Amino acid sequence: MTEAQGQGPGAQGQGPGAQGQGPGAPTIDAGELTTFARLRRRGAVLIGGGALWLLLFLAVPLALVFAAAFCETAGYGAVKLSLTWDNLGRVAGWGVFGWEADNLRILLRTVVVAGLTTVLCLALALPMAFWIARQPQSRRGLLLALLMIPFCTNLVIRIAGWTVLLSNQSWLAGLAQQLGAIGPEDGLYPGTFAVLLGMVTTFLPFAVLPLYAVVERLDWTLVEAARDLHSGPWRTARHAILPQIMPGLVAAGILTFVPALGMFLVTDRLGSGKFMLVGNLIQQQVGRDTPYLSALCLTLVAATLIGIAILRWRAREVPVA
Amino acid sequence: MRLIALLFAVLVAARAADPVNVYMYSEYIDPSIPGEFEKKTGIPVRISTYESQEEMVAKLMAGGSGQYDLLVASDVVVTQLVTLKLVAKLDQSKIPNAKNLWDRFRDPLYDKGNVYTLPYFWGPLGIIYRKDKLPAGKVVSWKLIFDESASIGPFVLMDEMRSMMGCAAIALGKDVNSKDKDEIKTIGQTVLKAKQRKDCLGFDGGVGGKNKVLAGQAALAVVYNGDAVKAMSESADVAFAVPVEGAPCAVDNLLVTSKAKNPAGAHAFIDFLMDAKIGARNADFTQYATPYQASLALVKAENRANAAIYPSDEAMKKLVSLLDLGSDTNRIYDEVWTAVKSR
Repeated sequence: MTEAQGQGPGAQGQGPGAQGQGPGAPTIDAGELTTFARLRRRGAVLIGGGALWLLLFLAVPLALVFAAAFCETAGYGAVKLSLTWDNLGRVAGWGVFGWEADNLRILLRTVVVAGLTTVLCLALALPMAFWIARQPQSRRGLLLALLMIPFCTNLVIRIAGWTVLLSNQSWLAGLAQQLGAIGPEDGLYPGTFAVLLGMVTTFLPFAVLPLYAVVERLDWTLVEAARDLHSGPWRTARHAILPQIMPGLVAAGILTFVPALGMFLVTDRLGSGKFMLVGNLIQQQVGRDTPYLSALCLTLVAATLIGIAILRWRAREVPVA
Repeated sequence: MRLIALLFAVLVAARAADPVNVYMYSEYIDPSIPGEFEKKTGIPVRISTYESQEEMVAKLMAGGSGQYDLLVASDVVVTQLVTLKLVAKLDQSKIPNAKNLWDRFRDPLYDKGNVYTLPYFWGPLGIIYRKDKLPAGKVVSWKLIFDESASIGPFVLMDEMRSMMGCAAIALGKDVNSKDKDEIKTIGQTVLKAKQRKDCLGFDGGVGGKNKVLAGQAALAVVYNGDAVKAMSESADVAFAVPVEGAPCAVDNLLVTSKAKNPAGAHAFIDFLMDAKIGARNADFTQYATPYQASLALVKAENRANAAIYPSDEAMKKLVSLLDLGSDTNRIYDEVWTAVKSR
């Protein structure tokens, strides 16, 4: 104990751990003579706005959703203040016809579609990130801007554009018809292909940007060192590159997977409502059955947290999310 | 001092003319009518719009009913609005023009005695189709959708639970307002079977459905007549018909909210909208059918003669209203619909 006091910053009477110092005691922070109380006040002001925002628009609504999920329905979706597990049971598939697999099928489909979207986005984004990062400095800004330009158009419009481009009247579908990929009068949508295409184009920039950020800072001397030590391409990638870009991969995965879980517009338009995801199920309940709606939202939140936990499993030190 | 007096006068003037806040579908009123109402009564009209009944009900339930004085709501949600006490009884003495109502729209099943509602517009569901795809002499029947052997090409279903289930019920010869669990399931399976066919292009709202038919992507689509009338004005290749078996018919209504800040203004505006001339002008602009007998004689002859807007008497006899069936039955429909859309 005495040794620690002799060495730690606390021994000089400046650190927060110093003994016998009240909040009003003078201290030095970043070269400025100040007091703890003043520092604390300044900190509260600085984070106050963000904290209040999170409290009002995240914590409180989420608490309300949580509470409503365990309330009974009082007819026409109004919330009745009495405890029940019915809504969660209904999410799991217990309904007026006994147990049906529909909701589980929807949940599973949602996870599969979101997962597939994430994998496709990462697979496409990784080469793009490397390619952009290896361009001359002057060109990188332009390439990144090109990547962001589609975002200037509203998602609804972009999806409407795809429906035109993929319909059976378009040249693209005509080409696919000629090649025999689809029937002579069919279009490329609605269907799984169109949904995945829509999902990937929507989320690709979210995957490229965090990957680009880590690839740009990549320490190539490590790669050189690995090559010098006769490491093959696979081992170089595995041991010299992958650990360095892991934080970016996880961030890209989370930024793609989480919004993909809640997506309903793409399935609704490019899937023409033929196949439901959780997002569609939630949308269908708006204004109908609020407690059930809340239970569905809660399920989606839980799925999101599980998804993040899995993605961070291998990279606990990753600072994002 | 003079400035203060002026300011005061402005404030008094502003207070004297409390606006009527209207909540309705977008593009559902002749935009010159609110201005004319203000000129006549001094009451300004502010219109907010929604895109679906669910959106409107959700907003009102979340405490939005004080924001609006006058609502336009479909027949199928009226009971819900009344049960949740979101709307108030109408004061009929303030709406003398209610006498203009067409008899067949008086006393509807969802509001006996017109206690809460007066109709605004009405329109049946039906099938919009490409004329070149329908063989000559073939009648428009729900079989075109639900019977694979009668298919004339790719089709679009209506992405609206009760409307679409109602069409299937009529095709099966069953009650569109069935409360029987197993019957509802049978109706759902009919929609499901149609959805799972290869020539089904999925579900879409009326606008999407008509656009797919216009583009030639679909041969036919289930839509409300309003969308079909717009499509027919854009292209001579498409036509609309109420199928021979009949169809669900929607009546949109005028209601006053329970927390209205300006109920008097709302009543005055309802009365104005139900005026014979105004009603006819509004119907001509929106191309929807007026439920006001007095306006019927005043609408443009070409609209009155358009069977897509005003179906024949024979077709009208086979139109049925979708009723609110209470939340327990709604849940059955909801679960069946989820199964239809997820399988």
